[in-house]
Amino acid sequence: MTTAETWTRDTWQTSYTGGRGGDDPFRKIINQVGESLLEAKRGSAQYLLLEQAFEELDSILNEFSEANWDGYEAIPIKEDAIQETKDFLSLLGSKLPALSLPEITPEGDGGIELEWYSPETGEFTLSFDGQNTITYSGIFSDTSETLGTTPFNMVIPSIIETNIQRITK
Amino acid sequence: MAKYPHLSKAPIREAIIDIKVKFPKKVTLRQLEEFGEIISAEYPDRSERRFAAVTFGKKTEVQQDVTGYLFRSKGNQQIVQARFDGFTFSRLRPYETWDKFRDEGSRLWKIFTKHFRPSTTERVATRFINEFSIQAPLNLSDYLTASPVNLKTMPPNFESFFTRIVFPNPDIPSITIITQAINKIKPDGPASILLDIDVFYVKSYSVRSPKPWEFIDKFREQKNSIFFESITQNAVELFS
Repeated sequence: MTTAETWTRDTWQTSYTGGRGGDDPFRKIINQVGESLLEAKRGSAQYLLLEQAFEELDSILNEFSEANWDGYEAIPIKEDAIQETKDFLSLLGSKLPALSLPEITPEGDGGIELEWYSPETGEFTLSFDGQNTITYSGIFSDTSETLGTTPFNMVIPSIIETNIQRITK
Repeated sequence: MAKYPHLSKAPIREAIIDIKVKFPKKVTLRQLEEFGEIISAEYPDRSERRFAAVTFGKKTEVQQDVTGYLFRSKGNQQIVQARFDGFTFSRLRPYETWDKFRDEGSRLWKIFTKHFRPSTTERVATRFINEFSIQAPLNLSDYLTASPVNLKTMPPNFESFFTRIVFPNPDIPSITIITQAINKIKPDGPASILLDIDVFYVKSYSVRSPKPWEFIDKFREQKNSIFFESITQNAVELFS
């Protein structure tokens, strides 16, 4: 009988205190899966940065879960918006040079905003509402602007990719 | 050393040199921060590397500690990690050449050892995480030589797979791990294929020994051999 179990997230080791013994084949398989995940995570800076962004999003979901969280009748942050943002950030890491980390902010309509800013190149923001649509706006150092919405279906829209590159180059 | 074609669009998402060390005495967070200050001209941005432990029992407890820092270059293309147990250098897209990547890693390693004075290296790894997209319909065997077998009952638009092979290397004392995976995909959409090749040994050497960096070079050759054996000519043309 397992009396206590410790998950070490960084190392994915599990240790049972008072467990059934070292020969349990099921536990060996579970440990092997954990070891696979540990190996996948070990050393990868990109994974670590993505994980930290995910933790920040989970934290926002918990912290802004009550109605009127901003004193101006904001609605609770939607889980769909959080998941959509995570999907986007995962795709971003494989699409663009390096993971260009945006500022993550909760929005009063329950969505999530990502903002890239550079004093040299300008500002570009994306809003996710969990409805498979991205709303974007940008003001660039050459005084040009952009504004619009685009569908999001597990592919980074080219207009989004282009504008993030403009800001982060 | 075998010659392989140069891939102008190599699908390298992250190249990693990872060295685990032992220190003669415990390293402090302040010392890790000081390392960051030494390299801050080229690596100005710092993030924490956190460790979280959750204990389930009569009372659930969560403990979070900082175990090191990530120092990012301008443009985020290179990242060096300084931790309580070692050093990692990563190059993200776009990967340039092995020589540039290795030389910068070696330069930062020398700064690391001069600052922290570790006594031994304990584990050394060269790891390349490759990722590339293919369009539906998915026919993995067009790109991968060791893709999962298509079962008769498996629908053509499967959602994901994960394979991991671990084997010792006969020629150099090391272990290789090959991981293949496909991300969650939508029907008829593009799919991202992951091919992660990790070559490492676990053995203690004096930090003054040249062996670790000799192995890092050999592991890169091993990685190249496995990479080109894992992909088809179709894939080579895709990356050329």
